Parts: sequence; C-alpha cells; structure tokens
Amino acid sequence: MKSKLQALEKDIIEGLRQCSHCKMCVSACPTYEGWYTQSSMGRLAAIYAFLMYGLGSEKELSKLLFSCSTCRRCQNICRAMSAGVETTDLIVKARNLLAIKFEAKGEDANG
Amino acid sequence: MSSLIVDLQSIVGKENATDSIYDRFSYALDPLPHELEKALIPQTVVRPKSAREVAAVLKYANDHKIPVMIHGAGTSFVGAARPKRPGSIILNTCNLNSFEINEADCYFEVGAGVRLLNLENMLRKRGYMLPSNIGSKKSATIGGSVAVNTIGHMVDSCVGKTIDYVLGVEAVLPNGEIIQTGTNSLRRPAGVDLTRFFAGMEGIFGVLCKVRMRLLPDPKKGHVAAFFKDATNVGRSFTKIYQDKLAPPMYGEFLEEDACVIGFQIRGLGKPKGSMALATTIAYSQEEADRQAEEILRVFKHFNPVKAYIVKSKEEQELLWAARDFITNLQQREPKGTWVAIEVGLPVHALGEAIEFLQKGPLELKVLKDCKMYIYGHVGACSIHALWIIPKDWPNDMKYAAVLESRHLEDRMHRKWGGIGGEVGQMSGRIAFYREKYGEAAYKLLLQLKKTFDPNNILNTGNLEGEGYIEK
Amino acid sequence: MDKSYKHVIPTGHVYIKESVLEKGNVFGVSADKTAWATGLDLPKKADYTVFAGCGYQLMKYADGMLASVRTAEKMGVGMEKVVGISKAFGKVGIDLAGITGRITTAGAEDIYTRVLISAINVLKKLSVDIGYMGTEEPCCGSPIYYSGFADDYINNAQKNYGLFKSMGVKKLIGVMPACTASLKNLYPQYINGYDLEVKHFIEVVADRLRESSIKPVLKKKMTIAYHDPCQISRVLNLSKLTREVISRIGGLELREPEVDQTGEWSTCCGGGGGMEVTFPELCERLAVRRVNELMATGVPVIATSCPACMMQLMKGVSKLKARVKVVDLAEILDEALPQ
Repeated sequence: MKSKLQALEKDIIEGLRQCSHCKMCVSACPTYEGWYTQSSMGRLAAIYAFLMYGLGSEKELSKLLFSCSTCRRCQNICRAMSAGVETTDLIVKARNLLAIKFEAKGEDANG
Repeated sequence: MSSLIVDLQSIVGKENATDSIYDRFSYALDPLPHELEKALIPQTVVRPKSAREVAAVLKYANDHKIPVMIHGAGTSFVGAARPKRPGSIILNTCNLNSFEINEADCYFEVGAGVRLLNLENMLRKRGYMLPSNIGSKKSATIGGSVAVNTIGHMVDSCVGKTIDYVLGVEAVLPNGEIIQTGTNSLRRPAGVDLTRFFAGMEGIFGVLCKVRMRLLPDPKKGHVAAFFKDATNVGRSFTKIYQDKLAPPMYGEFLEEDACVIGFQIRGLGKPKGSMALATTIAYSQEEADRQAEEILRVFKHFNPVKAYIVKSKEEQELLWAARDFITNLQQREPKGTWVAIEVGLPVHALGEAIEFLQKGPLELKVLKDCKMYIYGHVGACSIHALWIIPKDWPNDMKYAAVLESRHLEDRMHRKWGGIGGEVGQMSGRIAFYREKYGEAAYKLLLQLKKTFDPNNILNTGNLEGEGYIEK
Repeated sequence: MDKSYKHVIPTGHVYIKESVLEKGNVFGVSADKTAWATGLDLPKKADYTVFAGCGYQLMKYADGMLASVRTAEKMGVGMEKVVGISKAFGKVGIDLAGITGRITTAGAEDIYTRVLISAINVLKKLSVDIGYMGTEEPCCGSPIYYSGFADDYINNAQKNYGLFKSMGVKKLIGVMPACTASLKNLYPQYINGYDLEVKHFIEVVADRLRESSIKPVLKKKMTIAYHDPCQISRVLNLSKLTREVISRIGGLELREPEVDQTGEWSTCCGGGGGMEVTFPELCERLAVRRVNELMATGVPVIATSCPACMMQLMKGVSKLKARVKVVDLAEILDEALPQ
C-alpha cells in the first residue's frame, strides 16, 4: 500500500511540474469566481504545496479538489494553447491519493 | 500579524482579502521554473475594487512598511511577479475591471485588471483593434502590458508600442495618493507628462488602476506565409523589407522548422515545409494591404523559399498563427519538460546573423548545453527568442542555474549587437544588464527616483534591485 | 468493506461509492431501473447492446438522494466516522429506502427515461439490431472513478467485463456520455485484452445516416442551441460529429453561443464530478451561467445529450424563470425520423 501511495505521489508531482503557471486555464474554469484556488492552476498549486512543502491540510485540499466539476476545459486549453498539463486527470488522481492516504477500516472508524 | 487580514478586509471587503495558504501560494507563482522559497510565500492576497481601495491598501502597507507585489496575472518572464521579501501583500488587480468606450471622442477607459483577450474581443465587436498582441493574452492584463509597455508580437515600427496609444492613466502612489495624468484629447500632452512614470515603469513608482487609450479602427489586413530551408533567410527577408524602405508589417513572425512541428501537429497542419515566416500587413484600404503583402511576398521570394504565398484562407491564417502563437506547446513535445527563454532586441542588419548565431549553438552554454533549443520570434519587430526545454525533475538549483545561464546568453547577444529587450521588461532578472548598458549614473538616478516615489520601498520591492536574481 | 475517509472524501462521494458497489447504481436505490423498457421487447442478446446507464434510468431519484445526503451531512453523519452510510442513515432515523420509495414510480416514464425510449426508437428506425441487458446491466463505475476510488473502479470494471463476456456482449452503444467514455476509454486501460467495441449513440446514428438514404425531417421547424456535454466534447471528441448529425435534420436550425463557449470549449453546466452533492450553491451558479450563455442566442429550445446536463440546464432555466425548453437530441431525432 505504501509503495502504491509513493508511486501515485511521484506520478502526480511529475505531472504538476509540467505546469508553467501561465494561468490560461484560470478563465477557462467554470468554477472560477475571482480566486486562483477556484481554478485548475490553483488546485494544482495546492496539491503541489501540500505534497512538496507540507502546506495546508488535507481537509482544505479536499475542499478544493472536490469543488472541481471535472469538465476538462482546463485540460483542453492547456493542450491547445500551453504546456499540455493533464490538469483534470491530476485532480482526480489527487482525490485518489487522499482516499488511499486517509482510508481507515471499519473498526478504526468506529474507535 | 493576524490583524493584517482583518485590517485589509475592512478596506476591501471580507470577500476580497484572504490569508488562506493555497491562495497565498498560487498568487506567488510565475512562469519561471525554479521553486518559490517557502519563506517568500506572501502573507495575504487582496483584490481592491477601485483606485480608492488601492490607495487605502497602499497607505496601510506604507504605514506598516509591508512590501506589496502588484499582480495582474503574474506572467512576467523576468521574475518581476514573484515576492522578493517575506511577508508581502499580493495586490491583485482583477477587480479593477471597468470598461467604458467613448466613441464620440475615440477613446476607451479600462481597468488595469481586464485581461487582454477580453479587451481585444470587446473592442473587435465594435470594429476596433487592440494595439497589443501577447502570447499570454488569455491571462495577462492590460495593466501589466501598459506597465511594461509591451506590444507583444506587434511590430513597433508599424504600430508603435502600447504607450503610444495611452492618453492618460489613473495611478496610485506608494503612499496612497491618487494621481491622474494625461488628457481626453487625441492630441496628447506635449512636454512634461507624468503618464510616463506609470505607463512603462513596471510598477516601481505606482499602481496603475485605469488606463485611457485611443480607439484604433480595425485595419484591413494582408497575410503572407513563406517556408525556407535556411532559417536565416527569414531574418534576411525582414532586414531587406526595412532596407528597401517598404512599409513594415504589423506582424513579422519567425518559427524555426523544428519549432513548427508540434504546433502544426496540434492544429492538423501536417509537416512544416521549412522554417516559417509569417507577415501581416495593415492599411486603411484592402488594396493597400494587399499591395504591401505582394511587396513582402516579392522579398520572401528573393531568398529562395520552398514555398511562399499570400494566405487567402481565413482558417489557414488562424491555424498558422496559432501554431506560432502558442509557443508553450513546445513543452508537449518529447521529452516533456518545463522551459527557460530569452528575448533579444536586434539592430535591423543583424536579424539573419542572430538566427545563425543561435543555430550554431552558443559555446558558453553549460547547463543548457544538452537541452533542446528552439528558435523563433518577432523577427519583423527586430526581436528574437530562444527557448530551451529543461527536464522537470532537475534539482531546483539546476533549474535556477538554467534561468541565469539563459539570461547571460541574452546579455551577451545584447552586448554583441547593441540592443536591449523590447518585450518583457527590464526589472528583476534583467536589471543587472540594464545597469551595465546604461551605466551607474543612470541606475543611481533610477534608485533616487524610486526613493522619491517610494521612500519606504514597499512597492514591487526588490525588482529594481534585482533581488533573487543577482548572483552574490 | 466499510471504510471511512475522515474528512477528505465528502459524504456524498463516499455514499456514491457504496451505492455503486452495493446497489449497482449511483443513487443507491433498490428501485427497478428497467421499468422504462417494459413493452419495448428488447432482447438480452443482439448485435449491439444498448447500455442505458444509471443516469437516464434513475435520474428521477437524484433529488431524493441529494436531500438524504444533505440531511446526513447536517447531522454530522458520514464525515468523521462512518460505518456504511445507509446503516448510518438508519441510525439517525433516515429511511433511505422510504425516501426513494416516496418518489412515484407509477408509470415507467419520466423526462429522462423518455430520452431512452427515444434513443431506442431512433436506433430501431435506423435498423440497428439492439438488445438491452435489463436488470443485469451493471453500473459502469464512472462516478466512483471521479470520486477518487480508482481501485474500486478497477475491480468493478473487471467484474463488469466478465459479466459482459458471459452474456455474449460484443458491441456496446452508450447513451449516457460518461458511461460511454468509461467503457470506451477507461476500461481498456485496466482490462487486459479488452475486446468490446464501444460507440456512443450519436456515432451509430451518424454512421447510419451516412450509409442510408434516410433523411430525418422535422414536421414542425425548430431552432435550438446545443449544449455539448463535457464528456461528449472533450473526452469522446464527438462535438463535430454531433453537429454533422444536427445538420442532416431538415427543419432544424442550430444557433451557437460564442466560439469559446461551444464545441470543444463548451462551458460546464455543473453536472459532473459529483460536485452537486457537496457544493450545491456553486453547482447552481454554474447552471445559471451556462443557461445565460445559451440564451444569448435567443433560442427557445436548448438541446443536449446527457441527463446530468439536462437536469442542470433545467435547474438554470427554472432559477432564471426563462422561457426555454430543454430537450435531448435523441428526442429530436425520434421526432424527425419516419416510422
């Protein structure tokens, strides 16, 4: 389980490093209402900050990740006009990472 | 320091100031590949809605001596957007988003935070052209581009630079005083005009809040494309256009064959027939635009192109242009990576020479020696770019070394041919060369001006000093 | 089996996972999802198997399910320590089965299942030999993939593949875009030797219209704007093909919103990713924004090809009190094709 988590983390970080913060995805995001965290760039930056710098909390990160509608408009614009970051796929992978990392079995959950 | 967020919220409103960690982190990121130091993550991000609120934020920051970084979209290529000091406030202009068009007086007024593409579309709908075309226009703001005085792809000798269209500005000084400059007449002020202290000064003397610009009617256009086996012929073609006293085109683009490949592929254009030259002529009449296009075509043909033609199909022109415009597509080519790039301003005679120089592979490159290099640029504007794809998994200090090495090459090319960057600003990563080129007297003058405008050095702190980029 | 994710996976998404894995549908209801097909005489085995999906078949239970999840959240159930959400619901006095039972099932038709019936009619009119797995049809698992449960998704996918093979399924026609993408693009990544042919409904329609001399014509002229579902436009890349089909329908005029709001750039309506379970107000704002974009074309009818989009667009229309009808393209095709 641990090595699967590590492999997933490595995969996500490598994907995130493709981003050159051009912010073209920001205005493409339907949830963007004026803050970067309401966009792909901000969500990806949050994942990076959490994994690489240990910043923030999994609870805050979860809120950002699950407020994404996974519409892929960001991934499409990045492919067409920028670095080709697989933005939406990375957000879904990060959801998976949280699920694996913070999963607790039934008994533990009750305790 | 937690009272900071409370105080700022009372100025701009609760919903316009945040100290949430993920926002603070993301507003400090820029296109350069090296990591942001954890200690430099800003304290808070504010989004004032008016010049009055900007003034109150700056007054507060000035009183408490807190550094403020101006953030349109944070897309500076020279490192100007990143915080240089711990505990900064990021002043984001996205709420300065007004737009008023005054067709009777042939000008428009726009808030600094309006994105260039949105502005372009609003103007085009009404039959006007925005005198600006930057690759990052989907995110970059009018405030940023006026502050840097960059017209992007467009050719200065044809349409001038952004400032040539600025009739006046509303700006805020670091101490919170609001300044209005300029006129509402197309006859701009002769003589002393404070506009120039804000438009084109990269945010070191004040924050641009609103800009008044002349409305430019959408001109008629002609489009020419040419493909050359020898890339230097693109440069030579544009040199000849100038030396033959022909009308400079609005766009004179160059993309080396290898650099065309991925852009063409993404757009279904097949394989490029060589290094690409694209020119767009403008005029008030279609006949004149076409005539100019024919003249440019004649010049291209002089240099033995594989193919050279007037682009008649609107769709083809858009696709060719997109292949040129979205240069970051290069990151998608194997091996995928991130990038560093340079921008060199050249004298007219050296356009072909500079391409040749880069193609040979500059010997002094060590860090970047084995990185894939692409050559392209607005050669018709006497400007050239080189971009290197660098591995994503390089350790941070290697990425930083790559940034510095690319800057040194740029400096060398400027020394060799006498130009200076005409597109991306002179602060931060480039200030060392600026200082060398114009001398200590000029740099000292800038520092003195900075001290006059900003005695507590709170605005875009560290950019004029080159903090974070000057090697010890 | 019962797992908790502390506070990192929202209640609604955990519930979706349990629903899919335990009840075989995203809403977690025990209702018969095949009722709509009664009387259509669809064999279990045929050349093509129509994969209807839980979306169209059970969307009418969406509101009830969302209400339960909201109540559970308010009562603090499901976020910290959960032992099977349905059981937890029971512990705090929420009878899920009762809620879903309250939703009328008299008459197999609702606006969503009507779309399925139209799709079946269209395929029959185009002489496509179709079957339907009925009660054996599984959940493709797409919602749990997006909720972050990749392993559960893969296990479910492998189980489903075994089921498809055992029932002799060779070619699938998906109607719900996300299901189609799941079966077409994701399953092959996780199943060795995946050999099922998967097409979306619109692909089959386009093929048949190209090959045959059938010319669909609407008796009554209609002007529409088309809202590309994200999975159609950006995952299955079928925007252009959809427009080709639309252009073949006589008497149908298409108006497009701005270039950067349509086709591959179609703006999200808020229906995807399970966002509505956790961020309902945001979800509603997306719906309103999208409807405004489409209404700028001045059309009286918005057409789409996804039940989630349909639900969202109707939500937006209702919030704006707009006089716009929302329909599925399959219904327009059914109307335009001769008997």
